[in-house]
Amino acid sequence: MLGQTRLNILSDEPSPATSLPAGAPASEPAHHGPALDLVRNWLNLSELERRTFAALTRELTISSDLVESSTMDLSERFQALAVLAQAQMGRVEAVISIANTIEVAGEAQRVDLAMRSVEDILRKIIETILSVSKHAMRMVYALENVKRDVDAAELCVGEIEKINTQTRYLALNAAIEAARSGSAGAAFQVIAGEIKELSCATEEISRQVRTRIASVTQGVRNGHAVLQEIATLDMSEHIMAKDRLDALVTALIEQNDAFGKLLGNTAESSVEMSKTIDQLITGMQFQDRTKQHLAQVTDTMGALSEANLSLQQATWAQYPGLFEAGAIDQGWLERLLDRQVLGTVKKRLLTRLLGQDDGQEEHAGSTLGEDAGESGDIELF
Amino acid sequence: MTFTQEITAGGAIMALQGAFTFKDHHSFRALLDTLKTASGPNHILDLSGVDFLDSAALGMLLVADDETRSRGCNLTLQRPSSQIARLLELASMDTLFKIEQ
Repeated sequence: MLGQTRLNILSDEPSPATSLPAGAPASEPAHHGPALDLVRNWLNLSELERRTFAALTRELTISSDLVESSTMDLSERFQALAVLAQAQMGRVEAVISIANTIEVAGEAQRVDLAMRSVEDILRKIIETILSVSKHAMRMVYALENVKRDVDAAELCVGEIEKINTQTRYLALNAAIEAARSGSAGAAFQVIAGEIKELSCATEEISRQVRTRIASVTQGVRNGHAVLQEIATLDMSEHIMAKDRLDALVTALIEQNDAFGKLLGNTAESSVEMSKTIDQLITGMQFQDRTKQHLAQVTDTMGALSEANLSLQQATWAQYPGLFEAGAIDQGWLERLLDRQVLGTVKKRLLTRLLGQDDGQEEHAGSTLGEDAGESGDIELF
Repeated sequence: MTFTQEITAGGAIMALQGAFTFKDHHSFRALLDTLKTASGPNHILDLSGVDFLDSAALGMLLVADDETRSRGCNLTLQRPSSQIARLLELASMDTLFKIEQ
């Protein structure tokens, strides 16, 4: 039940003069009337303060619970995020490891070293090409020398055959002359016969040598032809291909380096992200201090409320007719409520200031949902 | 390929012209003979007129290098075109020959 007197203590308006309520001690002098009105107003205000302390204590508890549950929820989410960041970091490190190596014949090998080994192989191939070219040309010149020598030998055989032909004529003439000489020429006849046999033997040997020379000449020609085929295989294009392969290898190495740097930066970012998340989790653990601070505030407000109640009870016991227990001024109540912008809080405050109990245990989750205004917006901010 | 030669006190200076391929091994042999007989320690092959070298020609240059080295002489390749110079570099012949621009 509200008090009968309205004092504008929350405004600058002067309070109107009031008379003593029914039940006031009759022995009070008449000039004490204004003082009694003031005491009555103070007592009404005291009741309002007591109820407000209780309501605000309840609101602080609800807010503290809301902050605690939200912080715990955030902490759990950040911890899950930290685990994901850690896993991400591990994956990036694995990718870096894979990007830097390739598997060759079952063995892991660094990409840059593998590329260098490709360059070494190319260099050796070119060395081999040049070595083959040089030796092929040496063989070409050597075979030309052999052919020239064989040609000279063939000429020598021709000369031998000419000499042999002359020798045979000589033997024939000697035999004729020996026959003319009769018995005196018998010995020359024998010598002429021997010379003829030698000439025949020489002719046979010359024929064999010429056959062998022809065979060697053919062999040299065949060898020369084979060498020519080898030497005319132009490998200069293959040598020039090294230029393109060098550029390709260089580009691959540069790309791999750039990829590695990028992944390295990603890994560093992951580490920083993980650290930041850890710091966030640590920071949120200080919410407990906030809860302790709020608990001290509510405790102080509780003590003030009890002091109010104690003073009210003592006053009422002494002056039962001075004021009505539990009465509060409706004007003050309205001004207090006008200052509330959250609908749910306003409703709870009204209920408690009227000395009623809604019978509900408010908690953070329901408060969040109930604080939505008529427009549907969250009234938290 | 054709070539001209000039014998100086320092050595033979031979200027090659055209494409130098296996087909030119006969004429290059004449060049080798000059290198064998020319006096002077420093011989020069002027490649400024050469527009193409095949691998056989590179082999012939290496044979010429062997010949001059065996006689205690040097063989310098002079003024190759950029393409020929790149080919010589890729073949690592710039480490064997002194190449002058």
